[in-house]
Amino acid sequence: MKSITLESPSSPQVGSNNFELLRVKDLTVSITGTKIIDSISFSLTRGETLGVVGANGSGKTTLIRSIAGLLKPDVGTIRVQGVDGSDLGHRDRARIISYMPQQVQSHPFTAFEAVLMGRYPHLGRLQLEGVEDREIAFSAMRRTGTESFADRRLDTLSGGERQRVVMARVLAQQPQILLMDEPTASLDLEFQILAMDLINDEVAKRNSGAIVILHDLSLAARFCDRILLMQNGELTAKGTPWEVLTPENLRAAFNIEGLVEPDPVTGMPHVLVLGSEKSGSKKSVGFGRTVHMVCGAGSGRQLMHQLKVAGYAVTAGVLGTGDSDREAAERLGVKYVSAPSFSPISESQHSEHIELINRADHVVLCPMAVGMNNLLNIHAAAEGSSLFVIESPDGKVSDYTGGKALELRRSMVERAGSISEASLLFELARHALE
Amino acid sequence: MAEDELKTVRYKMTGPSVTQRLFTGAALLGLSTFIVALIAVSVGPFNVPFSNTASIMLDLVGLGDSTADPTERAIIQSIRLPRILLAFMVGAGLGISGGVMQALFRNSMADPGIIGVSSGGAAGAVVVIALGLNTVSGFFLPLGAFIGSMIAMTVVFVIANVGGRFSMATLLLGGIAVSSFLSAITTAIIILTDDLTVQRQIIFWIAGGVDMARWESVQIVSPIILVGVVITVFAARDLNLLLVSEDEARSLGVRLGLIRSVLMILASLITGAAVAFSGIIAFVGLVVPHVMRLIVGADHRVLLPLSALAGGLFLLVADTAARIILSPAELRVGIVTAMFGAPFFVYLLVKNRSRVSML
Amino acid sequence: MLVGIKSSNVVGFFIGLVLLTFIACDGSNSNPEKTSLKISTVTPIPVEEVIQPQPTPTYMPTSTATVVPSTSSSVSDERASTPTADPGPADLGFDVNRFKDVPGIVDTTNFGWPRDIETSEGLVTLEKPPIKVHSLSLGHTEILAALMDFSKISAVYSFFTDPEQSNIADLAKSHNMIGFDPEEVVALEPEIVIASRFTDADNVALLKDAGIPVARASLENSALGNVPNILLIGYMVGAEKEAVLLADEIEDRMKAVGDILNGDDLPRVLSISKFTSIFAAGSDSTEGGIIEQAGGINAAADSGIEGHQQVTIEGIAAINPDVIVVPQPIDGAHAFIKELKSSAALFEVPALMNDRIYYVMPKYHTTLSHWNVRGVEEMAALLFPSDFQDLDTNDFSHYTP
Repeated sequence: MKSITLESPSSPQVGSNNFELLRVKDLTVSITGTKIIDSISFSLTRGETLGVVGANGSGKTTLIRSIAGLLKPDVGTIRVQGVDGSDLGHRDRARIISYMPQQVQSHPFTAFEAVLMGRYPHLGRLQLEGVEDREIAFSAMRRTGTESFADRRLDTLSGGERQRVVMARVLAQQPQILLMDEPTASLDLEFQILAMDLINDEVAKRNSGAIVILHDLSLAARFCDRILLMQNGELTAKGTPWEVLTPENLRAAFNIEGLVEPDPVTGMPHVLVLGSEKSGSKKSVGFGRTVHMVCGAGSGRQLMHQLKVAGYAVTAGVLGTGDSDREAAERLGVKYVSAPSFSPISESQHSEHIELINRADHVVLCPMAVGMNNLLNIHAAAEGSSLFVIESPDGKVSDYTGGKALELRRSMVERAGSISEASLLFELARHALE
Repeated sequence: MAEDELKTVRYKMTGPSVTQRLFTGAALLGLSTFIVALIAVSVGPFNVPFSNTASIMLDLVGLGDSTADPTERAIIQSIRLPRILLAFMVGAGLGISGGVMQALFRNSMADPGIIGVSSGGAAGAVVVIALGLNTVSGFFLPLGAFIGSMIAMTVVFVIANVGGRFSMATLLLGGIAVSSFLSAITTAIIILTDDLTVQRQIIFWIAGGVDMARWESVQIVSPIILVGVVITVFAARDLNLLLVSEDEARSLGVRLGLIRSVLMILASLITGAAVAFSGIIAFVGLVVPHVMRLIVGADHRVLLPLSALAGGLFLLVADTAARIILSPAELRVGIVTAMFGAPFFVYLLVKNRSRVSML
Repeated sequence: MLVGIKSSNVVGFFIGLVLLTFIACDGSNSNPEKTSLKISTVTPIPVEEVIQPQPTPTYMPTSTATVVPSTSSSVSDERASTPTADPGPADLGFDVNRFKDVPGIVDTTNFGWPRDIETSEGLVTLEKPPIKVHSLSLGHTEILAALMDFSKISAVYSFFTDPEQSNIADLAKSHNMIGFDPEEVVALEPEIVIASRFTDADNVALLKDAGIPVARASLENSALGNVPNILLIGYMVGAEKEAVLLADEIEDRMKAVGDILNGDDLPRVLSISKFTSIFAAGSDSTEGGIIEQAGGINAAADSGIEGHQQVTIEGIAAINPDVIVVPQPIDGAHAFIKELKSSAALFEVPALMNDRIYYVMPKYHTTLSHWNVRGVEEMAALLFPSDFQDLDTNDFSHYTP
């Protein structure tokens, strides 16, 4: 944020050995009889920012509303700093946990009054805010860049400005646990980064913890120490961003095709969303271009998905019955040359394959295992004019042809170079734009 | 030096504190009320010279010994003073309970009778009049009205809690339903009664007024309204949070169900007491909190006490006007509040167009 | 939004209530007919005034000649020339000259049938003496009861049976009673409906649309002023002889009162009633008219009160009357008088100092008809007890064949 002149008061004294702020165990919550979240367990430690991601209706909001004490769990426990949540008094809880709702309602208070409300749990019933409280509130406004409209009524502010005011209120509350439901939803790009920075900054400074629901997966990857992935009310993955944000998880949880790459700046996972199987946009660079895949045994399945959602027409060459790539091709409606399993590629199949390759704009050679039966596929791939050779993730390509296949492949790499699976779509896009 | 400058800047941005706003507002309104009350006690259809009024007043507070005429003394002591106090108390009660209801329902169109209290009071009064009990003792009428208010409130609460789940929407709709039902009863009694005098009395009662004020009425109404005001002020901070959002209120430590029930019952008690002794004076509870919100802001720790003072002042001014405009006859105070209050309200709305909101 | 609808409810309810009362009490209820229709005092007017807020536009409340005289139309000219009757005064048994200037009678020489009357509701031709007459007001019904057999009155309304308000309570009790729905009047198929100036215009229009002939007759605050009205009604129902007799009685009795009054010492009299709040009868009120005809000054009117308006104890002290009369039902009246007597602020008011505060029967004081003469006599006796101790104050008699 802008210059911070007023430091937040130091965090409350908590036993230094107590690293665990929050432990959620077997949490099951229903709303009007419908089970919304089911047996969720996780913990939050001091200094940690925990991201929660998941599709709409996956139970993210219900999860943090339960932790905030706004919903009563059917089953399970929520221990806050070692104390059972149901034993916490309303005001005690409010001094430890702050909650920032997703929807910021309009109301007739000024921004400053709204921020000052964060101090209520720290005051006696008839006690008015003192100078110190006003200083804390004002400092929180400076940190969120809201001090310039401190005296404006909230109903005259924009959605993003309101969201920052609520964030200032959360900071003024000086909680141990910050629960934030999409705190960046209405913010512009600069403030999205600044807000996340601020949350990390606050967590580090006060040795507290934050649970933040985010829709922007890259933002989650970049700013969260760990991520919880929710799907249909269940916790399907938790761990570091690299562990959770995989194309498989994205496909399962969000029904999207995504590329996960290291961000060139932060080195954290960067998620590039290609689209959903249902989309297939005509605006895509891939529209009207054909890519032929030479693959097998699952080596091209992922790319087939990605190319398809990126709008390319995809063909594939010779795939035996029972091959997992063949199944993917069937499902995606990819045209391919078929061969019986465990038998060599016939002449006619090979020429049919060459024909497909000649018609394609690009040919992609996947790092599949090559035996005598499919050796002709490598030969066919060499016919392609615009060839891309995909690197094997572990650097090894299984060869059962006594080196023939590897040699062919090596010559093709010499000719066309090789690229990682994740960068293929970028490369193709660059070609298309040239 | 720099620190001082920063403080000045900060003060300018964040405005005067709650205490400053409260005390400034209370001082101004209190002073105005005192002046208006002095005028009100000095004017009326019966001409009491000001020097006599002053000496009677001083005598009443134990200073000096008035030799004023006993009629003048009776007019000041038994007619004007209780009426002034009742008008102020009723206005204060309506002002604060209107403010509470508007916050609870998050809607500036809410009035103190929103959950059926006024209609209940009217129905109770109508039953007492129809049974002729009001000619037995003057206090059966306010008693009946108060009981009617409380029954209406209880029924609405029971409706809102059906199935063990409290719902504000059900409370509101239940209030509308119960109000309509009670209004139908009132109307039915008016239409079905053969007795014209009963019809007359009901219509006059419903029109509202504090003209029949007695010291006894002041003694009964004041404690209810004062206790209500004090408890409400205790809960003012919770109302602030409630107005922000229910979730935020709860997450900031408000015991939502408890606070809401207590305040709703309290506001209804205050309204019931006001209605019992003055009939239905609708405009005050709706408009005073709204106007005060425009002037002092939405912080209920300031807004509610000042709404009480302003409501009292407003009704006192209106009632004084009602007494003197047609002297020796008088207008119903409800007519005055509407005829003079409404244009003023419209003026404020237009002038503050940008700041007017539905809360 | 919902709340918005609700919050206007209280006000809406009240307005609705008043409107409903208008509808409910409707044309029939012009009970204690008052002259003044005070629009400025929305609340403090007793119900019966509220009930009929709009006289028909053609009607002029200030004029004493309340029935619009017929302008000579071809029809009436023709009728006038038809020699249905050649009335020799002696033949008919009453003084035909009494009808000469009665507004509303189209041909004041025609005492045969058919006969025409023309009021602000237009021309009505009656083919024969009507045997089904309907009156929408208590005052007119009281007049009818003196002129013809009560069985010819088609129906009565419930409040006609209240012995404190009505002078025909005993007759009305055993009579056909209807509600306030104008349709019930249509169903009675009366030959003529007599509306008062308090009857709602819409109501009259409704009856006329249904083909029922309607005549609008006057009701005045002054007993003598009502005489032409009584004569017109008599002419309408073919009871000219009875109408003349009644007119003569009114004039005689008023003259008797007038003869005794010496006009010197005019007491200031305040007529007040308490219906939850206190209301005073000012200028243009039935009660005020009676006070003045009985030789008093209407103290409320004197203090600037018009019609019926709300006052307080302090207002009474300011008006400072010599005499107070309370024309309201007896239960409320006694409680009210007790309250007045115990009000310290009134101890120095002459009416209370001299114990001149009286309950009077509302039926003589608040209902406009010839019975007001009885009210005037009673009032005069209260105001000037020694002067009027010998005056007979009998009730009027109803029609007897």
